[in-house]
Amino acid sequence: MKQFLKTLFFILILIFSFFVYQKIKSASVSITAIVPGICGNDIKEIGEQCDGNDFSGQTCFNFGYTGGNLSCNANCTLNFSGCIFAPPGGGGGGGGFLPQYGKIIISGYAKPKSEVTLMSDGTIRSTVISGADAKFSFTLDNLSPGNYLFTLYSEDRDGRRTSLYTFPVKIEAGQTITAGNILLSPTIDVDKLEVKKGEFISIFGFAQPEASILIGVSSDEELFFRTTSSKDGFYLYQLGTDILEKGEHFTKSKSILANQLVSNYSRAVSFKVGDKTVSKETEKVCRKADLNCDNRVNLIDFSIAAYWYKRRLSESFKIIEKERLNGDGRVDLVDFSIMAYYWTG
Amino acid sequence: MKTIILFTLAIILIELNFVNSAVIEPKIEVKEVKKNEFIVTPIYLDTQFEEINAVEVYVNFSDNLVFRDYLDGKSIITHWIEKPYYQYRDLRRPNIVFSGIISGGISGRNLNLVDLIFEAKESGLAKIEIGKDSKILLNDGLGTQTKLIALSKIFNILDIKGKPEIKIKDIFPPESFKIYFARNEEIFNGKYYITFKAKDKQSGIAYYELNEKPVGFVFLAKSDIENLTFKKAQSPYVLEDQSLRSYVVVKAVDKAGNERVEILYPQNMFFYEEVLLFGVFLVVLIILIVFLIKFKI
Repeated sequence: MKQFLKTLFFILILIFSFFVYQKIKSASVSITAIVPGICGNDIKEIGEQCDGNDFSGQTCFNFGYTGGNLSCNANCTLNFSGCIFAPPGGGGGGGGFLPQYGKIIISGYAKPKSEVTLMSDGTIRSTVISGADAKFSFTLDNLSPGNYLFTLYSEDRDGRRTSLYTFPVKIEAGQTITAGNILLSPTIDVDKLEVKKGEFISIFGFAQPEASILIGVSSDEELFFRTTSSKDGFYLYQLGTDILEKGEHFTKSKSILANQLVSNYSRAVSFKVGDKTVSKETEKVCRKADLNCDNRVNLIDFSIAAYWYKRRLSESFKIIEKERLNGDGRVDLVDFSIMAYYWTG
Repeated sequence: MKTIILFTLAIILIELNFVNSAVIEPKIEVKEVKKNEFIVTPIYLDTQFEEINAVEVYVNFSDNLVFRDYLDGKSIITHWIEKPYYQYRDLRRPNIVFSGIISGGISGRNLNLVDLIFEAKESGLAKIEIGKDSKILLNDGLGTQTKLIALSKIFNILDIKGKPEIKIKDIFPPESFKIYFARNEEIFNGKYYITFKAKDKQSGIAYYELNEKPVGFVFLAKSDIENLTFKKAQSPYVLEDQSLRSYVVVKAVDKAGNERVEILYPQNMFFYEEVLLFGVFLVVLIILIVFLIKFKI
């Protein structure tokens, strides 16, 4: 009897602990995100691994699989049952010493007629122009077996870039891997640096043609708005700022194609709601992390940052560091992280 | 009863800590090794659904282990800030540190950061642990540090002598790579320099060699490359020939001895004066020919 009570008490403690844990977990979500993630609204938010078709750009490749499709459970956790491990291609060989190379076919959707860049391990491998239907495709062969990190991005006609779409792939000898249905994020911009409260601000950019565009505006709380892109991929949303508090706000967007494919979020752009309206001028400025100001962030910028790593900065480089890195007067891991985020190859 | 309650609370605390924390772990499959044997220790990262793009990892290990080398062929790190090296913050107990970035960011589990190679020196329990001061930064454009769970591994070194050897099967040359030519007032006193980075997917890059071959009367042929004398070099490399009239031949060699050669062609094939002189010569020649034809000399 005593033993039974002891076991019962132990089970009760476990059940109680589980509920306490769940409570604390949900409480922590509501602290980090002002608006808690609503599972089932088809938007992946903080605390969710996925939501509907929104996987935040993650694919089976991110979890060590060689293909297949991720799915999302009802509780917004990832389901890997559709992911597969494809065996390396058979045949070939003969002699056994000839290296067998692998191949990857990557395809997806960008803005129509835009330049799409493919990088592997941070180095540009190829660029293509997407079709009028927004489709693009790359084929890379002669890949030695091993782990690869592929990255895609595209640029619109005004030089705005999508966010980077990155996925790791392990290629075996003689294997052909297909990574399809990749949806690149929209590009995004605003027409004003500061807008007088109550006036409108234009949020615009390019995405796939006739795609549903979800625009997120974050400040104290995150608000979402929907619009649709035109046949050439252009989208525009006129946001009335009377619903926003005064202060700095960020906006980003993602595209949803045929209610099936969901892109990553675009890069975030900022604007201020205040007492006056200031238009955004299109003067040429050096982009973030572009240390030599050549409109690219690549190995040259990395070598410049690496030169100053753990060194005392010169007065002239301090200005560049303040403008284009984190501005703390030194070059450290944080600056390299900023560089990795804005990397173009 | 107290033990049960404490045990339950401990489990809850551990689980809570794992929520949204990246995990770095040394993954050693074996539980026992022989003395003098090499132990390949892959350092794995699980981002726990976060997207990260920079790592700085400290690895501590017990006195009966000696760090010998590393393999970075499988690593997800696209650009190394510092490759694994001994750091003597505590002279009695040096540790290993490495750092790098993953351009574009990455999210996933079982992501290889590097394979560290240790030699088992003395018998007994050995420990390899990830330093708690290691850093993982989010791919958010701000370099925000994420929470980290640093794990460790314990194994036994038997008092039996083993062979200190490691077999690397690598028949593939390093990947083709690009040589970037640059000049920046801020570094190297404004001198011209090159920067390059090759990747080898199996054993990793062992070293680079380089030759600056001045422009001759004929273009650089493949046979010329084989006859060049190379010297060891590192990226970035300040060019000796600042007149930029040399081919720069860079050879990447992997840890199995396979090679890949890439060439940066001279930025200045001819000097301005030479072009001018050649132009003057041409004009004089044309005038002479016209003169000869006109006067039928």
